[in-house]
Amino acid sequence: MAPALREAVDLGAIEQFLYREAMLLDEKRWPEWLALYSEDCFYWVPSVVGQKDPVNTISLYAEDRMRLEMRVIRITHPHAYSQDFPTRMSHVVANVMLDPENGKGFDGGLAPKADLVVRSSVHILEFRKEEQRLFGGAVRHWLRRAGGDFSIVLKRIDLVNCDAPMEVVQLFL
Amino acid sequence: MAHPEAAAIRALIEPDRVHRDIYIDPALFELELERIFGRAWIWVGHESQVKNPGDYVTTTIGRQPVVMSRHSDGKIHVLYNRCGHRGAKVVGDREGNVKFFQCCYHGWTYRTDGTLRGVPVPRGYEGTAFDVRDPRYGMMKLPRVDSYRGFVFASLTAAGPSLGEYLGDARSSIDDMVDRSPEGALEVVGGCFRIVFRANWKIFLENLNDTMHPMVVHESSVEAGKIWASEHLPQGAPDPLPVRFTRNNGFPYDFWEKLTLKAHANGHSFMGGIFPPRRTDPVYMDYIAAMERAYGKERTEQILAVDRHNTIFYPNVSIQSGYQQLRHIRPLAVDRTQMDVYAFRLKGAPDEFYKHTLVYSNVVNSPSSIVMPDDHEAYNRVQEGLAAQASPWVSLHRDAGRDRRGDEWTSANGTSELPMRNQYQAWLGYMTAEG
Repeated sequence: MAPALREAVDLGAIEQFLYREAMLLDEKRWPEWLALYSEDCFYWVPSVVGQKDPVNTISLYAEDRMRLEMRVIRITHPHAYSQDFPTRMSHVVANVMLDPENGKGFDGGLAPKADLVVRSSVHILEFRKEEQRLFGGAVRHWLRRAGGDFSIVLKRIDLVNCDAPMEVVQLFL
Repeated sequence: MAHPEAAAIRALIEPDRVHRDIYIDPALFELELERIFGRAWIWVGHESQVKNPGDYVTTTIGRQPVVMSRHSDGKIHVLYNRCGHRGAKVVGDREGNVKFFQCCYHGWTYRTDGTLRGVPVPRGYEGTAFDVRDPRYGMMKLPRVDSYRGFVFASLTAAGPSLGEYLGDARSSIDDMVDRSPEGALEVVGGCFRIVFRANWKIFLENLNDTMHPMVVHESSVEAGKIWASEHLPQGAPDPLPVRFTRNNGFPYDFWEKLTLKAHANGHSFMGGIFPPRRTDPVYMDYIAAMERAYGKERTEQILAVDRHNTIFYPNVSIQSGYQQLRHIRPLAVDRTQMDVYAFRLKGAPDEFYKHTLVYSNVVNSPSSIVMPDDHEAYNRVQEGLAAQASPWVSLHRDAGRDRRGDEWTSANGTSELPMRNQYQAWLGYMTAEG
């Protein structure tokens, strides 16, 4: 991105966009959440620290739009037994900044057609049945301008505990 | 802890039902670690995890820490991960490459075949009973280590059947997995899913060849595939892979009843493939072409005609040979199990084909998969439910008494609970054998 354009970006609008995504996830407003993502989107949660790509190493999530949509159908299905007691989540998004590296080295070779790359940190409190869990890590959003708003082309979440033994994770991070 | 007598153990297993204590009694769990995980051949890794001299990976057998390493002469070793000096776990990382292992405590160093390389200030041992060449002060080798076509197994005891005798004809499932590579070799993909569930390890093993659960447990993911396809694809269009990998679990009972189901005398078993018909998409056709270049048409057809879903090697590993997946079962406690999931690349297969392996890993086998959470919900609920003293018995009656017995393999109707009954006969054998 040209420096002039970079300066023209309204960081406040970006923050509001990320907060909105967090709210839609917490409130399980799935269709609205999916609408934030572009048709050619990719949702990626690596399984190792510093993972280069989603091809030579397995990933916790490596989802195109179709698979995101299938997930939403599943978790809202009345016979999703593992959601009999529905998972609850609370996302806290902080440290939002334009990525000074512009996502270099983190796009997994997917070459997302994005206008800007935003970094943030996330802490996610998750609760189901008896147990509360905490997830956290570094997030990168590759965003495309869409009208007066943004659209997510690639979201990468590097969990602090990406390679830990863990119980199943059902919702979106 | 006093161990139950053999007669008491025998009373827990009947031909068509098992006592709930085998899932919830901590004393029996301890005995399983000693008599099953302490005696049987246990899968520890795949040779491709330690490609180069100095490469190592760590794991556990039961609770015992072990390391699999490749020595400078190319030979693979499985060593106790314990310092010969004061007992510290020597290798701390999960995997890596070293010239030699060094204990973090007093700096003793070991070669990658486990032999003691050196101790600091050796004059301190002059005139003592300590001998630097005594293997008991090295990182000791496990009593038995062997491999079959890249799959490395080890045993904590010296006595017992050979790996070949243990695998028996169940090795044909490993053949199925390896033969599907145009180069006849597998390679572990980077990363490993480590998934924990709150249930006894045997509940997972039971589920692997349980064909009466998919249409119930997986209804939500079956519907996800169906609904997505009906909303996005013209009628009759071929299923994209994520749809194929989910909706087939919803096949009618009739399909499952006709599946092949075979149980091996040593507790192993497999079921027939659940993803018919054979694919005809361009990526798969490219793969077939690569196979035919390597093996010719006839042999390729022979290889691809084998169609198996889960194969269980009792007690700790299961493969999906047609989808290049392996699940390694690690019992943590009577009500807690870890499953390490690996994906493999078929060497010589086209890259695009390999990407489909990863789709399978994500849709079916990752901790965040669309399919597995519902299985784990079922396992966890079995564990919770068995706390009820309602009845001491767990039923494995389906199609009991109708098994077709052979010398090595017993077969049954595809929805039979034969594989579970068979697992408990093997369990009984290990648990009542004299040490």
